[in-house]
Amino acid sequence: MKTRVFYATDVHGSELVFRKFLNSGKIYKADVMVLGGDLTGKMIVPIVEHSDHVFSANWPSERTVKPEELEEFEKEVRNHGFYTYRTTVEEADRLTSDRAKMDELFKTLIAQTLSKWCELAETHLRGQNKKCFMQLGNDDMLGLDSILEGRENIVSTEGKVIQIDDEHEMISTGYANITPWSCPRDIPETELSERIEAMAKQVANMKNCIFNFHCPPYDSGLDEAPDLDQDLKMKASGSGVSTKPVGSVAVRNAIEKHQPLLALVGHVHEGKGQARIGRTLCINPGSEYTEGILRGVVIDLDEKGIKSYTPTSG
Amino acid sequence: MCIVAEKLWVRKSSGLVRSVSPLDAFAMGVNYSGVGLIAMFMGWSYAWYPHGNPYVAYIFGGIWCMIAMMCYSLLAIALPRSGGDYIFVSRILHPSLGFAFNLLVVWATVMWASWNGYYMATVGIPTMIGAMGYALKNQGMLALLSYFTGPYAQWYAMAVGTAVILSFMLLVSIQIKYFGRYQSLLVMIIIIGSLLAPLVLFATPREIFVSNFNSAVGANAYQSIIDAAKGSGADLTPGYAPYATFALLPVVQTGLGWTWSSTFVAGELKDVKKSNLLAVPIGIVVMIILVVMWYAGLEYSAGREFITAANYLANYNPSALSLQVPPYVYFFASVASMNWPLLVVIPLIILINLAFPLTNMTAGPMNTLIGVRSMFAWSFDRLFPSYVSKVSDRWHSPYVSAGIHCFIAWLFLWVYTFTPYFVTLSLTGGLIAGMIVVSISCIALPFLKKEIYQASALSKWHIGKVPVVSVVGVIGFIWVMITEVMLAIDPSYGASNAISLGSLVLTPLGGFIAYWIIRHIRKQQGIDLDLVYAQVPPV
Repeated sequence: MKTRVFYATDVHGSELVFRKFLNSGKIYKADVMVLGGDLTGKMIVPIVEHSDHVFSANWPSERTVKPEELEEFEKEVRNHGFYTYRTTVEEADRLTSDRAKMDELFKTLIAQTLSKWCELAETHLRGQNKKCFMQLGNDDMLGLDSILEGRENIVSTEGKVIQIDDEHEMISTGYANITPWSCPRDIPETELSERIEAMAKQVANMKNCIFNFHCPPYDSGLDEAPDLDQDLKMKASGSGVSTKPVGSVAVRNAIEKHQPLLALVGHVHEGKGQARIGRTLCINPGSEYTEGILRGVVIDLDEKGIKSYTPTSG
Repeated sequence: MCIVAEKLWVRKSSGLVRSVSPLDAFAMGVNYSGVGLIAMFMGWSYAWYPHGNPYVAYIFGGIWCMIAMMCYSLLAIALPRSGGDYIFVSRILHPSLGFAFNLLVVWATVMWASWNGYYMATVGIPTMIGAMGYALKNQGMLALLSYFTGPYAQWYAMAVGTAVILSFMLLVSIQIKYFGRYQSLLVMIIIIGSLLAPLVLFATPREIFVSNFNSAVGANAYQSIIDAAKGSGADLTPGYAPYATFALLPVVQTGLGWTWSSTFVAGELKDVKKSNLLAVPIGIVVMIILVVMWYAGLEYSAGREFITAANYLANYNPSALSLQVPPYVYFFASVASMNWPLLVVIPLIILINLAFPLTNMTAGPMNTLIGVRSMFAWSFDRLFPSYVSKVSDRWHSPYVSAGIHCFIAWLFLWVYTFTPYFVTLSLTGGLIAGMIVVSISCIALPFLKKEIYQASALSKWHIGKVPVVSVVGVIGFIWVMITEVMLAIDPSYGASNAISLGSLVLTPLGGFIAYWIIRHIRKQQGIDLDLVYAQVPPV
């Protein structure tokens, strides 16, 4: 028995990278595709219509957009991981001054896009006999989980123990330890530990289990992120940007305690690499979604364990 | 939950950070250049090309070099999380080329580590002691110099060189923030000492310098050196010549062309990466100003004829040079200040003369770090075994890759110390050759990797219809080819030594062949290296 897994993470709303992910099963000949969290974007680019039917937008800098250029422009914005919203000058001003309304708009656009992505996945994966697992990450708003549920060809993995093939189970969570930004799914380490343990105790064969945890283990080398001051400015030294480990102690403790076969993590885009914690191979493929690059890792599993792994950058 | 930033609506989410400030970028840019080593290259320029105009070479060549080094800045804007030239080239051109030329770069960093160790022992420390001995007229210090040239000199060089290489291994093994603080402190001292040197020279008119020099070295020593150089065949006639000025360009590249290392700055939401664009040119401009000040200060105080004579003898007839230290700017600045009050002279001379040895101790670890990071990248891409990227649990140090790098550097230290087979500038040839493929990657990016190009800020910059990144790539390519060819064929530069030249060619060729062999071996192991950079079209 051999199973090929393709794992990627942190697409952050980039439609280009998500579409690549959907094609990854075919390109990499993967049986199982896993998308590890942080699916949604961080920014809305308002496209403001003026009285003369010309549109303006401020991305990547101030510009006008002709009506015939709108579709192409919106596609470019989406490919970078952002959302677009066509609006008027008056509505833009109203939204700018009303945070609650802005929140609602974000929720709406994020939910619409995520639904669209799921429909795209269902269509594209139909007939391919591949399993596709997705979860939301700490950066993704609450209230979106139901969008991933009940989908053809997609399995939502948060909090579940899932059999990915005859030999291997997978437990997953997109929650993370507290970050400086207090993201929607940042939770205290104790809570994260409880989440993980609740799944771990249901695993039948931990020796062959895969931990699909969005947050990397603390101080593993996969969680080195820029060190920030109180103003969220990167601390730089003569040798460049200072970094520090920002991963989760709960995740690390869980790996050390349970010693699964494999831990697939993300969250820290610059933290690509592999590390061993005891017998567990931990891999963070990193993320370059802003550059339109799908970073991932192809892992071949067999009855003995991990036959091979290859990082990818497509 | 939401913040509004200038007509863009941003929700509170991870990764929203502020980029480094221009001041930090400046520090990084200067930090990565080997300031103290430029003093040595100055000596070469006087010896090898006495009619070269260093002001024209450094200003004209420096601007050209700055544009060429912007290749790295621009690629880092397009691929900010890539982490270096190995991935730039692998992704844009082909992984076999990325590995081949990165292998050459790593080989050069290994050699530079051993060179740093050797030169610390044979030049850095003796120069500091000798300069102080002459300036303070301390015979005891001057007597110490005989130990550096006596019958055990080579073993002494091995001992000091080994200690230096081991220190590099230790430095790359500590956490980056401590490493950064160490670098910043040393670079501050280097910059201060390097600034003091020309200021002291500008404050010392010729007659005082001559008097001081004769007092320190011996009666009529100043004129004797000029006479000895003439007698040895030196051309001390005034005036500049075009080819000689042109021939200084590799010296300019060797002195200025390393600020590219500062371009790896991470970022999230991005516009134009101002810090990337600033770090390289700021570093080079600072260096150009410093070097021009050195040349001008030396020629004002000591005189061009004398400086040329001293360096000519040091290179071609050392026994005729009545000096026990190399004729570098730091030594001459020390002599210029020797009549100042003792309370000023002693710290001044210490600061000025620390610049050279400390440069070894900043540039050396940085080179080692580049080599170690490259090996990490190869290991992650499955070109090297995974144990190469092992990090110790306790110290978080990349002990395997650092150990490999430093062990090979130590082996080359033996070669450097006991044989004449590797000449210094072949090392820069190695590093410069790596820049050739980076410049080609720049040219090719908009055409071979349209997707990456279109996704980046670079796609907005054109000259007419021509992408700016390609224009910069062409300028960079011409620059590095000129310097690389001159290193290879001009007899004054070391690479024309057959073994050195051979290693410049055989290393990337060997790396290219090795890639395909490794690919085959990995395939037998079930690892398909073709997947690493395989294109994935979107559905």
